[in-house]
Amino acid sequence: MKYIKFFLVGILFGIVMTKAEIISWYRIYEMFKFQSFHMYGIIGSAIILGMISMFLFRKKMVRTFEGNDINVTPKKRDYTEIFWGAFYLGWVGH
Amino acid sequence: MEFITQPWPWYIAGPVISIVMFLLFYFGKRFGVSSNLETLCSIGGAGKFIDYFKIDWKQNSWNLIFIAGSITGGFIASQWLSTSDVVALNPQTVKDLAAIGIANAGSSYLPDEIFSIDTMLTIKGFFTLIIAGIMVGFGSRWAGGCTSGHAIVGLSNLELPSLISVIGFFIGGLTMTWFILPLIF
Repeated sequence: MKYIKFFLVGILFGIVMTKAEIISWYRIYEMFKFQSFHMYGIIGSAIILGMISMFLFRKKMVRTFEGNDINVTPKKRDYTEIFWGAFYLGWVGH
Repeated sequence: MEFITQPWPWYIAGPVISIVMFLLFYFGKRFGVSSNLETLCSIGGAGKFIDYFKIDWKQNSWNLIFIAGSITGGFIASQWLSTSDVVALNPQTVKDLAAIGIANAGSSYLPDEIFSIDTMLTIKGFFTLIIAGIMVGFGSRWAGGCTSGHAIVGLSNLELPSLISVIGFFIGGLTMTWFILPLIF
């Protein structure tokens, strides 16, 4: 069962999204009204810790459990497309 | 146990999300929720019409399993790890929402005015959700990712496209919140 680990990580993700109210429509509305720090704190701290782990991957201080290097391939680079796509998604993701 | 059943503060949630991302990298994968939409299109046979979807979706099945886990985790959290589903919003937010026609904001996770079954069965409610769904699919494909792939992973990796996309998400969200929502309700 090589997939069970993804299921377990998914459970952790689902629990945190629910328990921290990140899935709440109201929390997203409140964020865009700048009336709470909650969501900014979550996104900000996740990104700062994410940057630290990326640094460890790049310095090859952390490898995958199979011993391979972790190379994070950047996403595509068509900025106008990305911007407008993201605009749409932000619009209704809300 | 008290600590678990209370809503979790941001300084717990942010680190846990980065642990999720870290674990997926450790298992050799990249965290990204919206890619599953593409995988589902491929499974549904979209590859017969559009080459883009002609992929071996089995290589992405780990991500579907991750999402299945997330749904399970959400169920576990709401059934057994919570004592109430009240969201303690800023009182000003509750007032602002009441002013545009959304009552009892924060008494549950989602407003009935958009997501209840009764609303879905009205013409307006039905089309609101259908149009929103189409735009989510369209936007995440156009931008090449959603909040998890761009904002969390992309920004952590210092990718310029992700910064641009996050600015886009934000302008879109602000436009919706400040200008469009008051018109819809």
